[in-house]
Amino acid sequence: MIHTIPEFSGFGLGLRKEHYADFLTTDVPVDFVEVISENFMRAGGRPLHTLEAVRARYPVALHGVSMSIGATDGLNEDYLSALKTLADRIEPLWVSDHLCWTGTGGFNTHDLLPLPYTEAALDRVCANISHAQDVLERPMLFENPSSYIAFPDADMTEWEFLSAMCERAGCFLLLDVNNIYVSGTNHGFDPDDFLDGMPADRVRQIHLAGHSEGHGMLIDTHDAPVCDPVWALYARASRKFTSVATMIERDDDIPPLGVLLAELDIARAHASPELTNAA
Amino acid sequence: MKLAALQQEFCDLILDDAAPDEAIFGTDAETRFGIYRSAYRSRLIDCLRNCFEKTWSWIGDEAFDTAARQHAILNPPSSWTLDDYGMGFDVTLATLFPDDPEIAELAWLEWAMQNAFASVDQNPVTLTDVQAYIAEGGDMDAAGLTFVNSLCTAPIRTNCTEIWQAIADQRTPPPSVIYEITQHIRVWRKGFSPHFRICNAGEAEALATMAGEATFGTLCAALDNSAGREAAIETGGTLLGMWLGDELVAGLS
Repeated sequence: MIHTIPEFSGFGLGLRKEHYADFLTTDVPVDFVEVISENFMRAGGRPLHTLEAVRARYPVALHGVSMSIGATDGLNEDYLSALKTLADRIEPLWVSDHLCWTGTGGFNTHDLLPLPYTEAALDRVCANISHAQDVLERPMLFENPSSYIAFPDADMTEWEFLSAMCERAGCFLLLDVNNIYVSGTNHGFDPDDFLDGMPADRVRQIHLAGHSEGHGMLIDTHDAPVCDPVWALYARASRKFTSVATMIERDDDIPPLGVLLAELDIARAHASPELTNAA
Repeated sequence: MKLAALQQEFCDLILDDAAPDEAIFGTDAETRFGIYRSAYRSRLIDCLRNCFEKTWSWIGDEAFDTAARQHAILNPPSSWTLDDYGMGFDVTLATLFPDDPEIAELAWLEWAMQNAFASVDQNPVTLTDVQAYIAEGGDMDAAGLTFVNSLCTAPIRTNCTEIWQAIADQRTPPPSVIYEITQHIRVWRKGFSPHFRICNAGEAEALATMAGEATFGTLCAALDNSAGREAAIETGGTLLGMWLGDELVAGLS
């Protein structure tokens, strides 16, 4: 069991199938790519071969959406086994998922559902993380999700929960700066309080993404360019967390690769000199 | 409220339209819950649209989305992967469109093609392998044949394959036709690409005979019943040659 994740600074993109050919045939100016783990946790076929070909050219981070680390009925062993197989095959920079749960009692919503930030939830999450890390034989990163519901019975803030989770479970953090902004707007907290509450030595990756506006709330759609307030928040985050990988995450309405590379250049321009020099 | 009970309540509220308790889920819970409900339903419909693009094209938005909503009500997802969610959609369609059997058959074909696409990688047996086996003294009569895991077969009674091909080629699909005699189709993966083929009656019978593990001799004996020994061996050889060319045989032992 490896107990830490080597520091890695760089600027990358989420690999989407629209851009496979670009990544396989040209030298795309990124330091790493991130893929959705579940898209490659199949028995075989072209997707896995494509990922291996990409991996031969770029460092790869595995990012999952289905671990359901907050599930009270435990983790799915078939899922963990398939993820372990993939991780052993790809040798990623790291394996990440979200601080959330996706269903219970055999029902899976396939959504990143919010947890109440209580001691009971922290106990459950930490137990599940310990099991996942034991199976995968590596520490994981967990991402702060966007949320639309805040539970009145919470014992702590989201950042207090994340910080305690890292300390108890020995895991690391993937900070989605857009999600901090979205949840801060939806629940009325100051994103800077969130950043101030993060354990700096545990943050290994930052996601940047866009969102849309719903009825009185922001919706985490990841289908638009990063907005100015999120860029400003990222600029402050990059000066707090000095050894992180930064990534543009676009999940829908995927534009041509050049558009995302231009957005990644904006990230480089907003990042601290330490981060851009280290990349 | 205990965490397990809260998660169960949350799931129940996603599946029905009851009002959430603001003491548990906070202020403005009804509006906020609506985001999760809407996302859940949209996700399932989008998933089925992606899995069954040609069926969607064949029956149109309204009929497809009605069927997708019905499927979602009857079959809430349980697998860790949404890739499994299309399983059984052909059954839902067969129930909803009993007079249009090509719809369910088209959906079955799409689902089988997708499963073949991501099936286990296997090294197919080649004609050269068979020749080497015989040259080394192997007895073809006793040779066991296993097919690739991606192979699946089904009876069909409509021109669903013609409809599939026309949509794939961006041509106007032909009108649906119900055949008087049931045909058989096989779907499998060759290289990285899924394929389908209408089998003649002889091949369909042979594939049924060879289901599971069987020998080439078993196949010829089955064919012998209807065609005579010499013709059976010739037919068996022809079938084997076609299967090898299609990368359908995974093992020869």
